[in-house]
Amino acid sequence: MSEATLQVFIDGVVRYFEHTSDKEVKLGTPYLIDNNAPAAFDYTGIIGVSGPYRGCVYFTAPRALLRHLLLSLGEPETGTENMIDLVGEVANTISGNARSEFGNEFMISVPVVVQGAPDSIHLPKSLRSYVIPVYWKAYSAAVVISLTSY
Amino acid sequence: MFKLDYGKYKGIIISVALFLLLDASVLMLNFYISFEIAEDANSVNLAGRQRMLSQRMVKSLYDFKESLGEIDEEQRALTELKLTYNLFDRTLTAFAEGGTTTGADNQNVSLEQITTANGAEALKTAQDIWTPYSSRFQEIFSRYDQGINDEQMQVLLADLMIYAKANNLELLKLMNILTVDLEQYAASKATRLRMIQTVGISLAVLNFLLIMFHFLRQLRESDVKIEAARKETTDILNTVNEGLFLIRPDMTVGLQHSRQLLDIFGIDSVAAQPVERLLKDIISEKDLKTAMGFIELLFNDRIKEKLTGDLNPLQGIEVNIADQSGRYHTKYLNFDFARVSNQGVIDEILVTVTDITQQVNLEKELAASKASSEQQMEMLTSILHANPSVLKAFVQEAYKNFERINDELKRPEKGQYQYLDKIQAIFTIIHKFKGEASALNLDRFAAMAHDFETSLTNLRNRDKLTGNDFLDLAVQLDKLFSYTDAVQQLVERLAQFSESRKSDKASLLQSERNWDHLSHLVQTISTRQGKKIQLATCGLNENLLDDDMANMINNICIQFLRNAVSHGIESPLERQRQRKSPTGRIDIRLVNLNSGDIELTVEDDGQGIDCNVLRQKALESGRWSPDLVNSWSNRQLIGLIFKPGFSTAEKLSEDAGRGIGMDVIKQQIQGAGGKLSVAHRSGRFCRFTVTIPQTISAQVAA
Repeated sequence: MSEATLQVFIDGVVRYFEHTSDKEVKLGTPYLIDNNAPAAFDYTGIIGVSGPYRGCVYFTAPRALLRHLLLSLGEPETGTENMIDLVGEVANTISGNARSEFGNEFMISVPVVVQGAPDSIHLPKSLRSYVIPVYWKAYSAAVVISLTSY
Repeated sequence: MFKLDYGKYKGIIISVALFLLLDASVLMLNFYISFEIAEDANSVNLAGRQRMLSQRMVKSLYDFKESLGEIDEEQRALTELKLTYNLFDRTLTAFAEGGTTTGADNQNVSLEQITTANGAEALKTAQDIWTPYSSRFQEIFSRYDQGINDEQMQVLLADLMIYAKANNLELLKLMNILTVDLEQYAASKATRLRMIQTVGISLAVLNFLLIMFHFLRQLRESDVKIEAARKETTDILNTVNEGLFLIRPDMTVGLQHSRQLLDIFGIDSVAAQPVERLLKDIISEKDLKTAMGFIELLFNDRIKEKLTGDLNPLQGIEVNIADQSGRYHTKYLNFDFARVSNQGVIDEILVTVTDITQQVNLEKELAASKASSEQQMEMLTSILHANPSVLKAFVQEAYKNFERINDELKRPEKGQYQYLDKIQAIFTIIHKFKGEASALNLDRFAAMAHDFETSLTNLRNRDKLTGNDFLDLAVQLDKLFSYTDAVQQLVERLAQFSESRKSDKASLLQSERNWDHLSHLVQTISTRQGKKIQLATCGLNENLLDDDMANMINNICIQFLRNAVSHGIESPLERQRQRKSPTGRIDIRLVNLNSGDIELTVEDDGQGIDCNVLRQKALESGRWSPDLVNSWSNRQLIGLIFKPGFSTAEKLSEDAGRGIGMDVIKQQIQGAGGKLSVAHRSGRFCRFTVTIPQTISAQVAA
């Protein structure tokens, strides 16, 4: 997994937050997790990736962050449905960014949103994933990149 | 396109034509006969009228006779008589010879000559009677016109009335015979018409039934044939392992396709959809464009099919099919195209899709296993020289180190200082790991760790740090993990072949630990630095140590040895100048103290510790004020050796100069409840003494 590839997915999230009124988004130091114990907050938006690398990339965030983000986007309704939409939107931005950066090289699926951690079927077997903590206001979310090259 | 196959439908066409012909004939006959019947009815009516006129004539005759002398009545009765006479006479002549007469509606009516035997006979007899009857009437009419007197007229009338009386009934009878005869003739015609109609209709119905049965049978036969053909096609399409479908000239998929096609593409329906949509989401945009261009080429009849074969871009193509959960299924497919032509016109393109995923995966696995074997061979040669149990311990330790680095990365940070702390902490771990790798001559590990350190140093030199700057470290850590995974697999496989399998207890208390790697380490580093050094060890194999203790002793030895080689022992030239043996010496001694503690001593006969150099480095580092540094005693200066990030080496190498190792050692010793002391004499020696409380080994040995 090259640093440049990871960076494309990370940039997708940063790009999303850049469009919000509060642009102060910070990235934590990336670390690794075992795929048999995927890390996730309350809502997770997953995009499937295929091409030179396969697997998935997901954005996962806690309810509190999503509620606050919804409010800051001018959406007073902070029900489950809107939270799911929001997570899907972030995942969509990641996917869109990846599409424009990688061009024809990669195939990026339409996002799927789940509550909690992604199902093990999404994750490549016996591999570690990269976790990039995303800090926005007082909350933390994360981008998890789980790709394998074969 | 619209060409009738007359041969197939000939029977039906003839039958239908016959049916129509029959119907038309019956209809025409019907017209003709009903026209005749109408004529006959007329004749019957007129014949009936003759009957009536014969009687009215006699009545008018009497009227006229009675009215003679009364001018008005006389005229009216004569007019009536004349009318009746003329009507009877004209009609009788028309019946007998053919001609016209006045009908009931005062219009002229044509009558055919009566030819039936009875009728003609009756008419002839009637005319025989009528001729003298008529001439008497004529005489009366002409005499009246001449103006004869009433007496004379009475005489004439008496004569006529005698004749009338004699023949009136006969005439009535004859007219009756004529009427009956005409009626019978008309009735016979009606019967004939009915018969013709019955026969005609019966024939038409027969013909219709013939058509129906023939047609139905033919229809059923062809239905059975079509059904059989359809079933065969369906069976083929349901059973065939390939995805089969047709592309129509408007670039849509045909209505029929094999069942396997849906499985291959993982979709519910495909019929009549544009081909582009079928391929759009599963192959890359570039491939899609090429494929569509190729299909268009196939529809171009000016290009020979043979020439298109090599251009097919959809051979062994990788498709990625996303399921509902967003997960991709990768398949490898072969698309074969064949033109379906009819009289030189390309109607459709037949596409055969073959799933070659298994084949491709097998090839890939083969290639991967070959690559993996090559990698393992290369790895094997690089680790073969290491003692298996030491290697195993090294791998375990490596995992622990990497987990620690990962934990450091994971630890949330606030502000620049914490980033620097993080770098420092990681540096400490990776440097120690590098030392161990070097000691065991595990060059690849050492090189990777060295790269890691370089990245850390680069980070430390940056003005402002963000979390994203650590991405490179995560990538390198992943690589270290992966490489270690591979080495561990190899070590496990080697262990399976190993003859010497020991019980858990024996392994725990292995007294015959191999410490050769320490001499190896000294040899490697001293050669690299152009020094000659002899290592002497004592007590390492004689004391029972558990794995943790052995690992710790190992780590301490490695760090002190590296320190001794890099900082202690002088170059051969320098040693000769100081009248020392050009070959330096390092002693390692491990003893069990009475207290049960373990004492490790590492002593070199080098230059000792130069406190002035330490002071100079401390000043250069700028971490402390010059006044403070200048006020420090030698003891305090020696203490700097164990400060994080402090080094006296001139240049960085994997042996020294990273300035991390000694503080780690100190931490480890203190963590185990041990003590560390340093003794030195300038130009003579330097001795590190470590005392560690014995734990598990003592208990087990007891």
